[in-house]
Amino acid sequence: MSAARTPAERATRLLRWYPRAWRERYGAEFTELLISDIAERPRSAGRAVDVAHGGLTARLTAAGLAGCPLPAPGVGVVTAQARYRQVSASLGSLGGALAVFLTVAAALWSELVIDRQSMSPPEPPVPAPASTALLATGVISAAMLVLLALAVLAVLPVLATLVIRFLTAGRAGRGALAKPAAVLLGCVTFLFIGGRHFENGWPGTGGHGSFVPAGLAAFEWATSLSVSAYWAHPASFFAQFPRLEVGWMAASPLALAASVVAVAVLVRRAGLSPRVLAFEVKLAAAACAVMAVVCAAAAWWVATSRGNRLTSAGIVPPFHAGLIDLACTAVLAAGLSVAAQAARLARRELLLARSTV
Amino acid sequence: MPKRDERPSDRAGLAGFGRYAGPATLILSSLADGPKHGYALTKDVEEFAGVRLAPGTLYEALARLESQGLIRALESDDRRRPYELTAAGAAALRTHLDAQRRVTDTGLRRLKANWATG
Repeated sequence: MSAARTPAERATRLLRWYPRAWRERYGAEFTELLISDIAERPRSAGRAVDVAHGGLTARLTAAGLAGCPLPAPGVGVVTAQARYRQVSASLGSLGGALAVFLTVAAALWSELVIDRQSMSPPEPPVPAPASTALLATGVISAAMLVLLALAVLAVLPVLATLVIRFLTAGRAGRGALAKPAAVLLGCVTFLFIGGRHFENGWPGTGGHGSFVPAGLAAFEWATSLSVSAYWAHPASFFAQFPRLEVGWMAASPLALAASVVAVAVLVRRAGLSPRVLAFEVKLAAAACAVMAVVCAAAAWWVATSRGNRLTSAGIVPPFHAGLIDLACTAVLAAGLSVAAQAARLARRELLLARSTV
Repeated sequence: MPKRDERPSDRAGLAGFGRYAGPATLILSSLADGPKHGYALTKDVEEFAGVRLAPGTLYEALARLESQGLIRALESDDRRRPYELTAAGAAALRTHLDAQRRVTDTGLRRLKANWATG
């Protein structure tokens, strides 16, 4: 039974809330403090909550989403190098938030395009939900194009740095870069092949045309199939869909998560130069602005088109937003919030690093 | 030259501490008396301020203070590492406490003038 644990064992368990770098720096002394505290107050819910809060804050700090970097051992203050590492961590977190954001935005966007392409040409005057959706589709499409351009601009200097590092590194250094690169390549290949395969089930063809190429919309639809309200209804979900498609819907977000982690690891291990970091921080700010536009367009469409009103034929009319769209908009807002926080801290640490001797 | 609406604490070393300014003030005040390790800090603060700093809060504040060069970790033979105040920490604490004292003096003076019967 866990009640029989010694103070030292309990302190060690509490210490697990903190990330490894923090434990290496403060772990021993913090454990001693916890042991003394536990000996004095054996039962304290407040202590457990406080340590959990401190540990989560330290983890957010390690991810570049809170606080300030740890002071260098033996030096005391935070070095410029540590601050540049923190900028990389913030950019990695921003990349993760952006990946989630793009997946959910792609799901919303492809839904709008499906509705557009599967409906009959509306008789003038165009009904309000359709005109709002058309405008939202246009805004989101343009924003996604800009995000794609920003992503290409962001990737190029990182790729160049990685190639140089790989060519000049020793065997161990190459291995440290090759493993996450292999994971990234594998996951991207899986997502591409899966997207190309499942795009054949695209339901948006055969109707009214759209300014979005059907092939692109179909691919986006297939890669974001996991963003679905069917997860809330597992019985009908498993009964209605082929096993392979269910497997794809479960595996594709995992592949995306693995690729995001691989990118974050690569960015950290690449040791980007201050100049490249400054460039990436500028792109991050621009990406946040574009994400805000996507978020606003999605929120506007959802706010003006809420409700699953059925037609007399029992069909949901096009461009009517449901609960899943509301949830998607909430995720977009959360993704934007995380990205904005990461971009803000990356900029702050970059400025501090430049002023650090 | 300070801006007209700038608070005195804005120029102090604790300006960026936000909600950790309270624990930071208590820790710096405790270390002003000499180096201490975590548990000794907790006991000292409890004694002079009547506040018990929880372990997580204490170390969040210690890490921030150390990263800004306001305190310094000392070498130690055992696992309990002591910390000492730096010159920058002493200056930051002095500025912060001066600002606090002005608030305290003003409050007490106004209480005395308008609520003397209590």
